[in-house]
Amino acid sequence: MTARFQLGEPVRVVDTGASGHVRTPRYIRGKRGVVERICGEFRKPEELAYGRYDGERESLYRVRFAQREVWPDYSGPADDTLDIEIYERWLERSEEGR
Amino acid sequence: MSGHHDLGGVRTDAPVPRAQHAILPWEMRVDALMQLLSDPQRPGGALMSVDELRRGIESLSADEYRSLGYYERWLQSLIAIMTEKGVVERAELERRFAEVERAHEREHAGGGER
Repeated sequence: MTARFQLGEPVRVVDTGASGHVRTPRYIRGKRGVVERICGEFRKPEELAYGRYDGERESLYRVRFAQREVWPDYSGPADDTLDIEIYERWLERSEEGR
Repeated sequence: MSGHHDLGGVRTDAPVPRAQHAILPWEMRVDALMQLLSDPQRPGGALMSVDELRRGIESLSADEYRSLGYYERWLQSLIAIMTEKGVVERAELERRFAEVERAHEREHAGGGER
């Protein structure tokens, strides 16, 4: 399995509607950012959370978001950013990063 | 689709306490217990994963989640996961809790009345 997204690529966080144990916080769903780094492939938290330690691996990315994209009323400097590690399944290509 | 633990971005009028507090000895023990149970180097392999710890915490009821402290949530989750896997029995734990409590009371009563 190879990483679907490249370094610097604009992405958007999709809401997969997944329930149970997930690591993608609600506030970041639907937001646009850029791939800051490709972290590698890791087992899925949804499976690990139920004791399945030998499941498939999935690409994990560190995605950088502008704070003003995440919080519309953000009053700090415009170049403030927020990094979150997100699994590939939660990401789709976006035309613009911010 | 998100649980009550997923609080980022939720608006609140409640004050947010920013003061740090010292980590108590029992809190360190809970942390150590988690490290030991999830250590892949332990004989027989890890008994649980950090993801299971999180799932256990997220499975607490909204009321429990709100009323318990950070390491109290960890402890409840550790108990839930370890009983779920049959590593310990809840009844066995309850017996031990009662023993420790009685020992504590004896000590306390002895020291206070003399």
